[in-house]
Amino acid sequence: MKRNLLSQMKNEWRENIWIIIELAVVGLAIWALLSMLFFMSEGLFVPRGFSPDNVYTITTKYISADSPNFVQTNDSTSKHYNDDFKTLLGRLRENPNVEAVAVHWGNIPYNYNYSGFQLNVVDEPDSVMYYGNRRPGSPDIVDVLELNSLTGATRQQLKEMLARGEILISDNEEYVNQGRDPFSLKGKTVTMDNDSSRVYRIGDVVEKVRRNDYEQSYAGCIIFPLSEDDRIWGDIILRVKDGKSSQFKSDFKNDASLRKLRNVYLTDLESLMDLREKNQRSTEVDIRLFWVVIGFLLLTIFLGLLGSFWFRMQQRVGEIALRKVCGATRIQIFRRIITEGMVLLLCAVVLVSASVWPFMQDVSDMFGREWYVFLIIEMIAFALVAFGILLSLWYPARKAMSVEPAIAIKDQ
Amino acid sequence: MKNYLRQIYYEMRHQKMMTWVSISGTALSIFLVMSLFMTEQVKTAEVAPESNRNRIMTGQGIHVTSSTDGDGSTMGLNPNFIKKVYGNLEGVEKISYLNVWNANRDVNVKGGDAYSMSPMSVDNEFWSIYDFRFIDGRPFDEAEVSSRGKVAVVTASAARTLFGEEKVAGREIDVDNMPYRIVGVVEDVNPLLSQTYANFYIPYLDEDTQSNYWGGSVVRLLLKEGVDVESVKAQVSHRYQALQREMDNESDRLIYHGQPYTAEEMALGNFGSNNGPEIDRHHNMMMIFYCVLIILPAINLSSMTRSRLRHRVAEIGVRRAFGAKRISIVGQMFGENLIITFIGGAIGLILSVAFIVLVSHLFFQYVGGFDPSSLLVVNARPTFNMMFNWQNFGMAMLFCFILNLLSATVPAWRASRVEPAVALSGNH
Amino acid sequence: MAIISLKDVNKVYRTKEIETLALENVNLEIQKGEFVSIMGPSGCGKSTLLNIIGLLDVPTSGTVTIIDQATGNMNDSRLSEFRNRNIGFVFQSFHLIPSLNVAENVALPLAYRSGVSAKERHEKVAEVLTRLGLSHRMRHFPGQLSGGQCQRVAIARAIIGNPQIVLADEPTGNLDSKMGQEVMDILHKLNKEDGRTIVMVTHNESQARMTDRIMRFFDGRQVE
Repeated sequence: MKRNLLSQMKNEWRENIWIIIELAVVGLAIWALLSMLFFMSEGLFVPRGFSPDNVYTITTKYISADSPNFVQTNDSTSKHYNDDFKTLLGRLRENPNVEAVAVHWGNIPYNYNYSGFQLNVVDEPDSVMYYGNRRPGSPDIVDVLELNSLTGATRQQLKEMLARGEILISDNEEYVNQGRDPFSLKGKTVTMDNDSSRVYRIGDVVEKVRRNDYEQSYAGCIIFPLSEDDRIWGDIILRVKDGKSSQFKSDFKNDASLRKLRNVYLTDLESLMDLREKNQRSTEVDIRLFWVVIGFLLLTIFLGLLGSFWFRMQQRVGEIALRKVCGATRIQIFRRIITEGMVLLLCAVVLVSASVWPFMQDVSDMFGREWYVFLIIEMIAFALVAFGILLSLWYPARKAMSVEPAIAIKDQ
Repeated sequence: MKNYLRQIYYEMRHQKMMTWVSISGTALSIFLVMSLFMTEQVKTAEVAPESNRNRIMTGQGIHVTSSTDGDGSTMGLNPNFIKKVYGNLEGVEKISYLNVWNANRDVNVKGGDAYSMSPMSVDNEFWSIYDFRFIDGRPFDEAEVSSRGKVAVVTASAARTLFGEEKVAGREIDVDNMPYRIVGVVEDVNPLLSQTYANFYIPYLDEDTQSNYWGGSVVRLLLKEGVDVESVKAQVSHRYQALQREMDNESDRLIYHGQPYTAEEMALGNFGSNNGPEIDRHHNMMMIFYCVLIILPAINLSSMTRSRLRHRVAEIGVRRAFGAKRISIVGQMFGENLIITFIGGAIGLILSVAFIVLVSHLFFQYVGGFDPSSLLVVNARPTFNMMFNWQNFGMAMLFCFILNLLSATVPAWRASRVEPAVALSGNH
Repeated sequence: MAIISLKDVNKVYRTKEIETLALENVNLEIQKGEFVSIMGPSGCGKSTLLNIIGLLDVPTSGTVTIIDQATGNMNDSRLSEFRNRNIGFVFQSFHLIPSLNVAENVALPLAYRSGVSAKERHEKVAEVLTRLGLSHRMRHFPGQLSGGQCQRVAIARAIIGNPQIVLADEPTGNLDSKMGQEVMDILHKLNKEDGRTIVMVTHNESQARMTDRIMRFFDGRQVE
């Protein structure tokens, strides 16, 4: 029976070659697309280094002295700006719905800024350097973003380090030179950008704080301490208590004293989740597009095989009837057709594998992944194709099963 | 001709499954290709106010690397530098200055609620490069720009949000607590139009900087009709090289990535400090994509066509016996296939328009300043005009035709080669 | 004067494994206005012979002359035109095109002839169908007709182009005897009234005896 099937398929080789080519092209395309999808979205499954829920950003603005709305004060402009800003920070902290409030300079997650800096370790024979994205924040940034120490320090301890003016770096081996790892830099004294006047101590190593959920590069970071006692001119990032978002939003909207003090006012309350949606849109649009294309390819297979097998089924009505007369069961007929589809798929898998695997070394080098990652994705891709084949053969196979031998043979 | 169509109709009804598969296969691929065409079209379509989109080029920030430590930064330009690089270029009709930073501002009517709105700081030439439709008032003029006048042009939706009406020229608003007088109201701009979308427009500020090049400005050039963008790029490239030589004693290197950019290059968007828009690469990718989209359905349709023809070998034999030449057999099969392809194509085209209108918002990238969750109600969907033009329609038809050519040529030719004696004997 | 003349015609079918000699050294002449029947057992080469006379197939060697024209060096398009003008076919299984109605089927040969206006075509179709008693069936499809009616449509199609030669391959093979007789009557009428040359392959001895001449074939050779 099996040999019989193969020789019958050989007789239809011209048709089958095209089906195999089609399955191979589609399989290859889905394989490539799935690989890209995987590389784009695998970031979703590793720690972000921060937690975005319940986090809000607020923009700080100042009424300039030439505005008619400017409120005259006795202090100098910059002093009262700073004092009033600190008072507003204090009012936010006192709000019962707020958990933590920090000041930042714009380089927060989901904002694509990259502020590249290097730390040069002082008093080392070799010039040891750490490169990273500088993210300035006041100590409470630890609680707002829920940063995690990798050496077992508590958040309270991390906050104290920042308060002492120490720097936190993230675990980022690629950006340490001389074969050192970040942990070996803990406690070292460093200068920033070779400027001997800017000397800091590295307090601890924390998880990478990534720029968004997908991207994995640019994740090496330098949490740079901001002191709220200085004139810091920053924007605000805060965490509200779990489940209190709407209360806080309505407080902020209705309580003018939270928003404005003399010439300083706070505006543009935006959740980090909204910022995330806006800034990840282009990646998500691409991902959606990829899925649409995969869907299209599967549909193409579905239609192609449906048509081809429908036609074959019609051509073979007599043969099927004869088989039934000779005692073939309905399930055998069904199985035969499905087997035929799977043999075609197998040919396609062999074709694709034979033409791609010789270059696998280059591909895996190019993407910096192990070969088995691609093998697994190839299997998934062809499993999808197999699913498409099953769907498309279902109807013709059902039709073939229900051929009535007596009628079919008479028609012949 | 009538007989011809009737026979096709008969065959289609007779071979329901084949017809269904052929038509839906064609519809599917035309649908996808047209959706892609239209998505691309939205990036470059010339609709008001960006009616001259394809004649407008943008010079934005440059990337400067220091040759001593390799560090680099990207920023906007200062006006003096812009004049040196982009002033008096041959083939450029108008030049307009804009500010780079357009972070949202708080806008309110005295005593009213403040709304966060997206601003654009532009000079007076901006209004002549783009064709905004004024509902009320006028654009700001050169005197107002150079005197840093506190005047604004707002969009209709912003006017409605703030005042509850659209005819608000002459009224006052506060922008970040500075009073501005509204001089004009324009129709809303679709947030897919990246060069002009904003909620309100205020005069451009010519900022003084100490830097040789960096500042807060970008520049738009309106080319004269028929001027080749490459010639403008070449001139700018020349000037950059001259400037680079001039400041050879300094250690900075200017990297401008082939600026100024065309609308299409701007729309590509995936360029940053270290790379420019790779328009050729994009085109190549799209070509590969289109080829896959055309070849896969062609394989399917080709096997459908062959199947359909196999049912009709005897008919072909009869026609040959009664004097049909091979070429007329090929012609007939070709024509029949073409009709099926065009039916599928028409369905695909309708589907793609429906798709774009209904769910395209899931697939478009909006202008940075556009906030879908904003209180301002702006229609962010692409309009029909943005997607559709006759050129596109022609492309779809051409695509159908190529699909037909690929899927019908071989089967029709083979069918015509069957010897009539064999065809009639039934032993084919 | 011979209207059909075959000289030393051989036809060999080759496949990978075997060679089959379908016709061996056939020489024959058919006169203008003759009604000739060809008989012989299945596989004796009579259908091949008819195909060769009808220019649907070419001999492996030998010459075929039809209406004083040597056909050996005609190309496909010349052959098509020649068939269209001079030869009409009637087949055992009718070979009507199921997706065309009776009038359209009949008009088929005119579709491949240039310079025939639609009006002319309509008139000719009506004339031929009236002559064959089928004028009321013009708009029917083949599937709606009886076998005898189908064959009369096929005959109408064969003669609408006014060919001198009509080739009929077992025209009554699929019909019962009454219908078969009707078809034979029509063929005789075409022969006697129009003066058309008819070559018919048949298994029916009595039908053959009514024709002017019987040629018998066995194993690719003419035996009588």
